[in-house]
Amino acid sequence: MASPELRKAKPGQLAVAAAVLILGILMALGTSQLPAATGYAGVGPRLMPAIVSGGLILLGLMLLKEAWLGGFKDVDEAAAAANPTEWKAFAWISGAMIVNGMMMVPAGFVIAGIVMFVMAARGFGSTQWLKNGAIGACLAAITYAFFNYGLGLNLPAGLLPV
Amino acid sequence: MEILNSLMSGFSVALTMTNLMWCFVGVTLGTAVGVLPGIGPAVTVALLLPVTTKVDPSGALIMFAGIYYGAMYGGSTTSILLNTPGESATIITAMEGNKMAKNGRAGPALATSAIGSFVAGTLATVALTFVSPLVVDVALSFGPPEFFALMVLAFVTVSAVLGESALRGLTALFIGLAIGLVGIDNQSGAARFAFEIPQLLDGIEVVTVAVGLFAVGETMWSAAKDYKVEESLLQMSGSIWMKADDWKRSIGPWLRGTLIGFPFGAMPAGGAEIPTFLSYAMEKKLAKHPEEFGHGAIEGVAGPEAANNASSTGTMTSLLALGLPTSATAAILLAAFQQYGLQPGPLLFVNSADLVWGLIASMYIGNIMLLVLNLPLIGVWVKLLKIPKAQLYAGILIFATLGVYGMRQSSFDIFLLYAIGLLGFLMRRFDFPTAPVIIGMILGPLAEAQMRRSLSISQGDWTIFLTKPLSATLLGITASLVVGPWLWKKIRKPPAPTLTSS
Repeated sequence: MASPELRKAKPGQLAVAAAVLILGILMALGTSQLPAATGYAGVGPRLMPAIVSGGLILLGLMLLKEAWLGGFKDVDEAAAAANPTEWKAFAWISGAMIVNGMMMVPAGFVIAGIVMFVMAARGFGSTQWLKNGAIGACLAAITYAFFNYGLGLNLPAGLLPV
Repeated sequence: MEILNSLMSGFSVALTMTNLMWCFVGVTLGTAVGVLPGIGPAVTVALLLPVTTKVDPSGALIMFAGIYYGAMYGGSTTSILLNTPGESATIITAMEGNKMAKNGRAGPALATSAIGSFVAGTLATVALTFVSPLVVDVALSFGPPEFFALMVLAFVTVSAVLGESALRGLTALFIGLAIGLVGIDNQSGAARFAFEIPQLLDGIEVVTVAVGLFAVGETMWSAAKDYKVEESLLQMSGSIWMKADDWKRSIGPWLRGTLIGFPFGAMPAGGAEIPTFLSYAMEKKLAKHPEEFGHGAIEGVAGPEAANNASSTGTMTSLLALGLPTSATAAILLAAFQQYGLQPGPLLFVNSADLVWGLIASMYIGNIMLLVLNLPLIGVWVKLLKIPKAQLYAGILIFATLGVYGMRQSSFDIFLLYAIGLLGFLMRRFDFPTAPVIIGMILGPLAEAQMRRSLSISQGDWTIFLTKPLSATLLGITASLVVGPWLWKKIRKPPAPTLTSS
C-alpha cells in the first residue's frame, strides 16, 4: 500500500499530460481545416491526421488520469526531486544552440561553431576559454573542410575568407 | 543453392576495394560512437545521410550497416570499463562486466564480449542469409492490407509491449506519427500542419528529430542532471586473453544468446533489450555457480552480449525483407534507402539483388574487421573514454548543427533542433521512450500510404483489413497485445476498494 504522500497528484506530470492532450486537440482542429476526401474511395489527407489526433487526445486523457491518481507508472518522482535540474548549465547549453542558430549565416559555420563550443563547454563547468576556443576552432574547421569540400555540402563561410 | 549463388555474387560486390573501405569506415565509426557516451549509431547514421548524394548506394549502405552493428561491439567496452551503458542494450553488461573489471578481470570481460559479439554476429548473419529469402517469398504475396497490418503490429510491439509503460510508449509513437504528418501529403498535395512556414512544407527531416532527441537532449541532460555523477574509468587490468576456463564458460552462453537474440530482432517486434535480459536470466539459471551473478560472472557478460549482437543483425532481416524497421537506427537506415529512391521490402530482393546481397556479404566481412578492431586494438578505444565530458559534448553539438544545417541550409532547422532537444530532455525526465518517435515518423507515412491504398482497393470499405486472413490475424495479435495485459489485470484482481493500490 502506497503512502498518501506518494498518491498525490504530480504537477510536472499533469503539465506533460495536458500538453499531450492540447497537442491532440490542436491537431484535431487543424485536421478539420484540411481538404475533405476526394475520389471514390472516400479516403483523403484527413484520415491519418484524424486517427493521430484522436489517439493523442485519448492518450493525453489517460496520462492525465495516471498523473492525477498518484503519478505515471514506474516514474520515481522522489528520485527526480533528489536530483534537481542545474538550470545554469541548462541555460548555457540552450544559449549555445540559440546563438549558433543566429550566427550561422552572418558569421559562418566555423565562427558560430567556436562560440557554441565554448558556451556548451561552460555549461559543463569548463572555464578554460582559450583552450576550448582552440579545440572548437580545430573541430569546426576540420568538419567544415570535410563536409564543404569533400561532400559538397553548402556550409556558410560567413566572415571567413574561404 | 540459389541462396549460395546470390551470396557469392554478394561477396563480389562487397570485396571490391571501395566497398571494403566503406565497410571498414563504417565498423570503425560504429565502434567509436558505440564507445562514446552521448552519441550513438542512430545519430551517426542520421548525420552521415548527406553522403548519399556523393556515394553509390551499395557503398553508403554497407557503411551505415557497419555503423549499426559496430556500435554494438563498442557499447560493451564503455559498459565494462565505465559502468554507464554506451547503448541501452548493454545495461546488463554494465552490471556484470563492470563487476568483473572491478575484480581485476577487465581483460577477459572485454574479450568474452568481443568474441561473443563476433560469434553471434556471424551466426546471425548466416541466419539472415537463409531466413530472409524465405521471408521474401512469403512477403511477395502481401498486398497493401497485409503490409498495413504488419506495420500496425510493429508500431504496437516497439512502443507498447517492450517498454515500462504501454501508455508512455504509445504517446511517444503518436508524437512521432504526428511529426511524420507535417508537410505536403504525397498523394493529394495538400499541406498538413505546416502553418504556411516554407521549411515545414517540406516536412521535418529525420536527421533533425534523431539528432535533437538523442544528441541534443542527451547533452542537456548530461549538463543539467548528471553533473553530480562521478564516473570512474577502470584500468584495463589483467590479460586480454581468456583462460581455458573462461572459454569453457563462455561458449554455451554465446550460442544460447545468439539463439535468443536473432529471432527477437528478426520478428517485426524488435528491441535488443529484452533478449539481453532473457539471456541473462537463462544463464543465471543454468550456471554452476549462480551465486557469482551480480559479482562478475563471465556468463552474464558472454550471453547478453551475444544476444544483443544477434538481435541487431536480426533487425536487418525484418528491415531488408519486410521493410519494417524495429529500432531507431533501423528506421534511419530505412530513410537512407529512401534517399536513393529505394524501398526495403520483398521487392528490393528482386529489383536490387546485387545491392542487398552485397550488403549481407559485407556483414560477414565487417564482423571479422570488428573482431580485430575490438581485441588487439582495444587500447585505442579505451583512450576515447578519457575525453572530458565538456569537450566531448560540445564537440557533439558541432556535428549536430553541421548535419542539421547542411541538410537544407536553413537556420530554422537549428532552432527546430533545439526545440526537439527540449522535447528529448522532457521525455527523459518523465521516462518516455524515444525510439518510437523515430519509428513513428518514418514508418507512419508508409503505413498511411498502405492504408489509403487498401481503402482505394476496397472502395472505402474498412472490412478489407478483416476479410484478408493474414491481416485479420496480425490485427488480432495487435489488439490482444494492447488490451490483453489490461484485461488480465482486471480478471486477476477483482475490483478493489479505491483506497488501496498496489
